[in-house]
This record gives sequence, structure tokens and C-alpha cells, in this order.
Amino acid sequence: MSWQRARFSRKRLGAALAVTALAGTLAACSSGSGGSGGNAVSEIRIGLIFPTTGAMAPLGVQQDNAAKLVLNWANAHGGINGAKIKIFEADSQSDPGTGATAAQQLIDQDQVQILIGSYASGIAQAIAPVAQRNKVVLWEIGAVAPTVAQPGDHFFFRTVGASPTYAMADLNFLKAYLAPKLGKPLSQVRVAVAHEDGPFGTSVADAVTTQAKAMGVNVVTDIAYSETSPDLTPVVLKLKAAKPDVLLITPLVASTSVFWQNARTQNFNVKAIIGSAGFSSSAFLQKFGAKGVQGVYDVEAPAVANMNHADLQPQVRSALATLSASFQAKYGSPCLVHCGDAVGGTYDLVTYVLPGVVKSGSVTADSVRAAALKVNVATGGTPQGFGLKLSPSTGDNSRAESVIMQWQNGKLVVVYPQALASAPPVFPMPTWSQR
Amino acid sequence: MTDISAPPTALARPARLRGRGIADAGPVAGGLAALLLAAAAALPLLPGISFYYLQIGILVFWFAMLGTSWSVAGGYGGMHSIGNATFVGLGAYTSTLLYVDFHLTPWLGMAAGMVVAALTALLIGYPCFRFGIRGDYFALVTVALGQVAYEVANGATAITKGSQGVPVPYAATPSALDFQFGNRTQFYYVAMAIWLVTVIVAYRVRRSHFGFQLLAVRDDEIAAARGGINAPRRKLAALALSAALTASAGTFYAQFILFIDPASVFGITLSVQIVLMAVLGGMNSYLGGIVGALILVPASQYLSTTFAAHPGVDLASYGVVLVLLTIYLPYGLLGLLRHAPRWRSVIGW
Amino acid sequence: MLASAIASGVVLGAIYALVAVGLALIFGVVKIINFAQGALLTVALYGVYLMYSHFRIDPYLTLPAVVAGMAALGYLIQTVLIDRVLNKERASQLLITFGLAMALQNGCLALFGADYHSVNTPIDSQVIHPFGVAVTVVSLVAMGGSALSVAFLYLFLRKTRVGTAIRVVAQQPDSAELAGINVRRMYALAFALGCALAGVAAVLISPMYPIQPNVGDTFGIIAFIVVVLGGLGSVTGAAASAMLIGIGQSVFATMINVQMSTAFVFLVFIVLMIVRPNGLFGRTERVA
Repeated sequence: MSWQRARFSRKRLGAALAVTALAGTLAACSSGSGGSGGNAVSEIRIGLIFPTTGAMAPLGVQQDNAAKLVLNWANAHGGINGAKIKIFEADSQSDPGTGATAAQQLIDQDQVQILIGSYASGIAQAIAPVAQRNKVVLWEIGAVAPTVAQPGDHFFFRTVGASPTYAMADLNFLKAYLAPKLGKPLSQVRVAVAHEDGPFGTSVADAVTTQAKAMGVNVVTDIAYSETSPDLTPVVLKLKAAKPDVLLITPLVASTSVFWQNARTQNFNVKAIIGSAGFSSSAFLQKFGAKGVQGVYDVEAPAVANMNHADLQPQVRSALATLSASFQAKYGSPCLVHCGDAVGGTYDLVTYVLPGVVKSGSVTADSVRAAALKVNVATGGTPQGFGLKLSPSTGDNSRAESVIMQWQNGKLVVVYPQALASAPPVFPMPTWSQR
Repeated sequence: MTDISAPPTALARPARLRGRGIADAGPVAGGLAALLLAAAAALPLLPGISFYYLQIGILVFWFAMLGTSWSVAGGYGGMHSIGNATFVGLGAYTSTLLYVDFHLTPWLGMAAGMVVAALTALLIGYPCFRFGIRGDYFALVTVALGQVAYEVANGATAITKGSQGVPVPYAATPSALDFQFGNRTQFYYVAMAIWLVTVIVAYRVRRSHFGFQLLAVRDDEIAAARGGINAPRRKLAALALSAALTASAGTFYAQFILFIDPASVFGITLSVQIVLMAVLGGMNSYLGGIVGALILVPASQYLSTTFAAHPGVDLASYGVVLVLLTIYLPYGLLGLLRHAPRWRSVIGW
Repeated sequence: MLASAIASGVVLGAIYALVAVGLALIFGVVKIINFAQGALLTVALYGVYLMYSHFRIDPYLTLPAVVAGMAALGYLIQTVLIDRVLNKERASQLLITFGLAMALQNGCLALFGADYHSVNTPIDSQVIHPFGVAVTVVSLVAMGGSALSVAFLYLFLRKTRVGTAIRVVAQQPDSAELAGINVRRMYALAFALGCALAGVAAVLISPMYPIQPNVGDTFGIIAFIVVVLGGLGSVTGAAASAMLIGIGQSVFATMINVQMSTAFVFLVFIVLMIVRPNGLFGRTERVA
């Protein structure tokens, strides 16, 4: 059978790679210049698989566009040491099964060697087995559920922080800043949690409640609601009844607007709200205006356009400035969180991983994995500000972080952690009567 | 004096009016069909054939089995359910949870799923048919059922793992017992086999006395009842059978994709797609599912691929294609044969 | 807390009624399950957004244009598409509206992109407190519009010749033909009116929800539950059942469990369907 032949020749290829990589590394070490390695790679075929239709389309399209932007930028700047990236796209239609088929199609019809995806955890969970089986690396730049790849899956890598990083950012910020400002010890702060009941909201809320328990934080209520609800007044009423000091809410985009309106109507005031997803969107600002969103916090990967770039490494800073500006110019909206995920993850791939792959002489899942595991980038070395070090067992980026941002005067700025903060946080949040 | 308690003899079906089913196809059509089946079976053996084509084939068989299962209740029985995803999801979740939590082989899990689905069908069908809910109203009840099933799967996190879904763990050494195959081609043959069984069951039902009575109920429930047929019982049996067959497809999906979540197996989009396959193929025929799937699955793949760079155009075009197909083939493709007695008998219309 | 829940339930119910009356008319007259109702709402919302963003006018002022546009669209859909499958398989009628929904919804996606847009009106943030509960002025406007639409439709169907003709077509299509009524034109009018009402709904709810290709989905499904529960052919029945569902959903969510409130609504629907197949307010003869 043909697949047996393929596997056999891959074994040979693997051996050849190892020897070449070794030779290349030795040459590089001794000569100090870019090793010879044998540039047998003239082309790298990358498949982009995002939900560009269906319920997840708004942000899926953004990630697809941003990833494409970076790949084209890499091509325009000499490719990867001369090797050109060939881009293929497919639409997962916001559905895991369709994503799996689309991934298979990219692999079989377009012979892609690397997949960049998936935006959503469910879709990633269906694509990961396809990638693993077909020996293609899935370079994940969006999904946050901690358990996307199964144990033993060696071809899954994720650049962004999984949901535990959201929880860590929330709770560390609570401990370091909010609790003192509230004048209460951490264990006495009343924290309410609300979340949309899909995979994103649930995984973040679960991470928050788990870590809160470990830190002795009092979660007074945890409310799950449906993202497509036309009315979230019941959620607001229940939250009011719980009398929280701080609200941690994880919506998607649509429910953000509905929730905020209902909260306004019911005059639901808390000392601090840390939202996510929709709370960082330009739609949120557009609907409620600068005064309407003033003081609201948001936890996720940084909105790269509004981040403090001072501590980024110089070449990263300039690349980010270029890419961010191109994205804004081409697509009419600033490069915020999800664009940042895609830009950051793709930049990492083309800058830190692919050169090693090209140097190895061939593009295979094993050579990509080898190059990926060698990456050791310190804080400031990626467009999103954190570092990059991929775990050999889970494929996750142990240096990924989520940050706390805050709407200040119509701009979403990073306020925590300090290294990435472009402004200090403001406290307390205005009450509805003050808006 | 006529004994009005005895069923009229007209209902003892006159054999000459019923045709001989497949036997009526004749050597040419029969040979062609056999050739197509052989070609389908030989597809994976083509040298160098990429798995993507086999995956399309698997999708075609999967939708075909769903469409044919739908026809058993919808076509034969007039119960137009727009909630069959409920049964897909029940099959998928039953077998997967039994596998993940109790290490039960998915084959037995599939049987369990079929039982669960059949029981659910009885549970919803009994009150509906007892109180005369039919037609559009029944369809809307099935839509509501699908939504309830989705919300329960999402909310009952302790059992179903909620919205995050359930990944099916890779078996260390994939074996047929785990319903996971190291050689992916075997999935193709399993899909084809399940599809064949579904079609054969649908065909046998159509040709059986039970099927005949079911059609009578569909065409005129009151007259059938007057003729001594217990309409609710027939409809219940058909619905339960349809649900069980649908659930088997759910298990297959779970084992093939290795990940299920409420949105992908309980969604209303899936329910509608199932109806699409059956109706555009020809809903009264046991072959409607495969014909519909053979048209729609490649069409949707083609559109998706061609317009990959333009979000929305592919699905908008698919919608237009559906509208056109519904206008020009309102009885589906096989429905074109419905006026020819011989072909009627072959396709079981 | 209960009072607030009921108040927001009333608002929700009024919105459901607004969206459902158009469907009630179509379902009652043309007798098809119009899967495209949610997509039509979406199209109308994009219409509001287009005019809002291009001409910088208040969304409420887009009402005449949106209503006219939707009516024309509805007339077109009925005469060109639905008409062709009216005497064919029920399932085909269902599928044509589904295909239409896909085409409309994804057409919006292709044309406008996937981003969320919102429209704002000066009274957006105003809240008043009748009877001690908080209600936004925008939702009061929507409630008023809802009541007006129901009243208008009721009067139209009862008091005008065309309306009566439509009712005849709904109840006795064969006799209508014999009486000289152009049944197909009545179908087209009903569909056009149903779409126009969707346009009204869109204008009134546009300040309340972000506009994106899937915005109409939830409303589409609930609208069916509302209409059928109200009783086929009864516009006032649809309005009444909308209020009941809105209040029921809101109270259940607030007092018991938020996440299961939608399932609760669907479960109640199933039970009520079985117990009262004619709907809560339908007449005794069923047309199904």
C-alpha cells in the first residue's frame, strides 16, 4: 500500500535529516556564519485553516487575514533564507468535523507541510488527530482549552496561552492590585464569575474557579449563560443578588453588548469587571463610546496595537509596527487581540522555527518538531511580548501569558503585568451614574 | 350481512400491483448498479489515491446512511423530522461516554446508542401520535426536541463533559475492537458496510407487510385505521427504527473524527442537512440517501474549495444550488422516476 | 428580583411578538415553515445598518425604506421561489426556505464581512423606572412598536377587503379560488407583509443587538415556537404566547437556572403541543 511506502521513505529521510542537521549545526558552530545545511528546501507549503464562515467567522476571518499577512510579509523579505512560502487556505465552517475534512484536504490535495489554525478549541481538537496521523504539524495560534492535543501527540504546538493563563492573569492582578485597592485581604474579596456556556467561556471559568480555590479566593457565584440569549437581565439580576466586589466575565462578542446594556439598565455596579473576548472588541467601544467603557478591564492575549512596545526586542518591535500598520490599512480595523494572536504565532513560526527547518534540508513533521523544540526565546522576543519555549510533552508555550488590559479614554491599554504595561491601571471603575 | 369487524380483503396486498422490487430492474440497470458498488469498493485500492478522496467517500456514505434512515420514518411514514441530529448525538455520546468512562468497546456502545435513540423516539413519538400531532406540528416538535437535547448535552457537564466536548482517546494500538483503525482505509469499508446494512434494512422494510401498512398510514391515516391498521404503533415502530439507524451513524462519526461536542452532533444544521440528503435524492426511496449524498457532498466540497478565499460565497452558492434543486426537482432526483411503474418498484417509491 | 425578572420578560416577550407576527402571517396563510424568517430579519438589520452608516440617519428613521425594501423582497421571494413548490412535497417547501436562508445569510457575510456592527440612537442609554423596575426607553419603543404591529395586523386582517381575502385564503384556499380571489397574489401579499413586519422588527431592535450574519438565528427558531404555540392562523395568539414565553423564560432564568432557560422553553413547547395541539389560542380546526 502506498502509505507503507511513504512511511518507509520517511524513515530514511529522518535519518538523512539527523545527519544533515548535525552536520549543519557543527558547521554553524565552527564557522560562526549561517551553516551550509544544504538548501534543498525551495518551498514551504503552509495551510491556513480557520472558521471563515459560521458563528465564529468574525474573529476567524481576522486570524486568517493576519496569518496570511505575516506569511506574505515573510515572502516579501526574502522568504525563509530563500525558500518561499506557498499559502493554502480552507474554511472549517465553525464546525469540528468540517475542520477535520478541510485539514485532510489541505494535506492531500495541496500537500501542505504545516497547518496553521484553528481559533476554536473544538475545531482544534478535531484537526489535531488528522495532523498527527498524517505527520503534519498543527501550529495552533488561537484555541485555549488546555486539552486540545492527546497525550503522545507530537505534532501539536501552541504559541498562545491556554485558559489557565487567563485565570493566572485574573487572580494575580486581583492579588497584586485589586485586593489592596479594595482594602480587603484576598480571601475576603467577593468574586463573581459569569461565562458563556460554550467551550471558550467554560474552559476559562473552570480554570478560574480551580485556581481561585487554590489561592483561597472566594468565588461567590458562577453563572453560565447562552451566548445567543436575546436578554441577559436574569444574569445581571443574579449577579446583583450575589453582591460581588469583582466580576470576572467571559463572553463572546454578541453577549458582551447585550450584557453591558442590561447591566446599565439594572444599574449593576461592581468595583471592577474583568471581561474577555467581546470586551476587547472595537464593536464594544463603538456601541458604548469611550465613557461607556471607561475603566473596564479585559483579560486575554495583549491587543498588540495598544501594548507597550518599549521592551520588545528591536527587530520584533519594528516587524510588529509594520505588520500592525499593514493590517489596519488593509482591513480597516486595528490589530488587537485575535489579530495579535495570529500575527504573534505566525511571526514566531517564520522567524524562529522555519529557518531551522530550511536548514535541516527538508520540511517534514519531524524536522519542524525538532526546530520548534530548539526555540528558546526570552520575554520580549515575540510580538505579543512574552517568550517562546515549547514543551516537548504538551506542545504548549510555557512562556505564554495573558495580560490585563483596561479601557482608558477610548483606548484599550495593557496595565498588567508591569513589563508590558503601557499605562498604570485606574481604580475604581466609574458607576453607571458617572458614565 | 357484512362482518364489519374483519379487515377488508383489499388490504391483503395484491402482489401483481406491487412489482418485484429490485428484481424489476432488469440486467442492464442491475449490472450497472453492481458495477457502481464494485467501483466504490475498489476506490481505496487505486494506486496513490489520497485519503482526502476516501474521506469524501466516507462523508458520502455517512450522509447517505443518515438520509436513508430518515426516509424510513419521513418518506415511508410521512413523519418529517427536522430533529434527527438528536439521534446522531445520542448515538455518538452514548458510545463515546461508555468507551471513555467504562472502556466498553464502541461496537457494543453503538448497540447501546441505538437502544437509547430508539427509546427516545418512543418517548417523544408516543404522546405525539397518541394525540394526533402530525405534519408541520410534528416537525416543529422534533426541532424543539433537538434544541432540548443540545442544551442538555451542553448543561449536564457532569455526564456529558459539557460544551467542551469529549475527545475519543487514541487506543495505544488501534484495533478493530476499539473501533479505531491504524489503516484509515478500513474506516471507508466500515462506513460502506454500515451504509449497505442501512439500505438493505430500508429496502426490506419497504417490501414488507409492515412497510406496506406504513405507507397506507402515510397516505391516509384515517382510512388505514378504518382498515384495521394500528397507525400509532406503526409510526412508532418506524420512528424507533429510524432513530436506531441514525444513532449508529453517530457512533461512527465519533470514532472517525475522534472528537464530539454538542454543537457538532446535536446541531439543527445537521438535522436539516439530513433532510436535504433524503429529499433531494428522493425521500420515498431507500436509495434517496445515497443519491442525495452523491450530489450534495461533492458539490459542497467543491464550492468550499473554490471559494476558500472569499468567506460566505461558498455557502451562499450552496444555498442557491439548494433552491434551484428544490424548484426543479421538488420530489428529488429519484422522484423523476415516480411515474414509471417498473422503476417505481425498483427504487421503492 | 422577581419583579425585575417579570419586567424584562415582558420586554423580551414583546420583542418575540414583534419578530413572530410576520412569521405568523406567513405560516398561517402560505402554510409553509419559513426557515428563512431569521435570515430575513438579518437582511433587514443590515439594511438598517447600511442606511445608518451611509446616510448618518437615526436607525428609527430608516423604517419606511427598510419596510418597503423588505416588502418588495418578500413579494419577489414568494412569486419567484415559493410559488413553484407550493403544491409539491412539504419537505421541499421546507428545504427551499432553508436554501434561501443559507443564501441570504451568507450573502450578508460575503458582502458585509464578518465583523460586528452596531447602530446607535440618541436615546440608547436612557432608562426609566416604572413601578420600581428598570426599563430602557429603547425597549419601550420596541414594545410600543410591537403592540402597534399586532394591532395593525389584526385590524388589517379583519377590517380591510384585502385582509379578509387573505384570511379566506388562509382558512379555505379552495373556496377562495372559487370566490374569485387570486390566491397566488394573496400568498404573495401575505409573504410581502410578513417580510415587511420583519423589517419593522429589525428597525426597532437594531439599537439593542450587534449586527452580524448570525444575528437572526435565535429569533428565527423562537419565532416558530411562539407562532405554533399561539395557534396556527392566530396573530393575537402569537402575540399572547410570545409574552408568555418571554416572561416564562425570564423568570425561569432568574429564579432557577440561566443556562437551562432555553431548554425549558422548548420543553414547555413540546408538552403544550401534545396537550393542546391547536395551540393555546388556535381555533378548533387544524390545518397541518
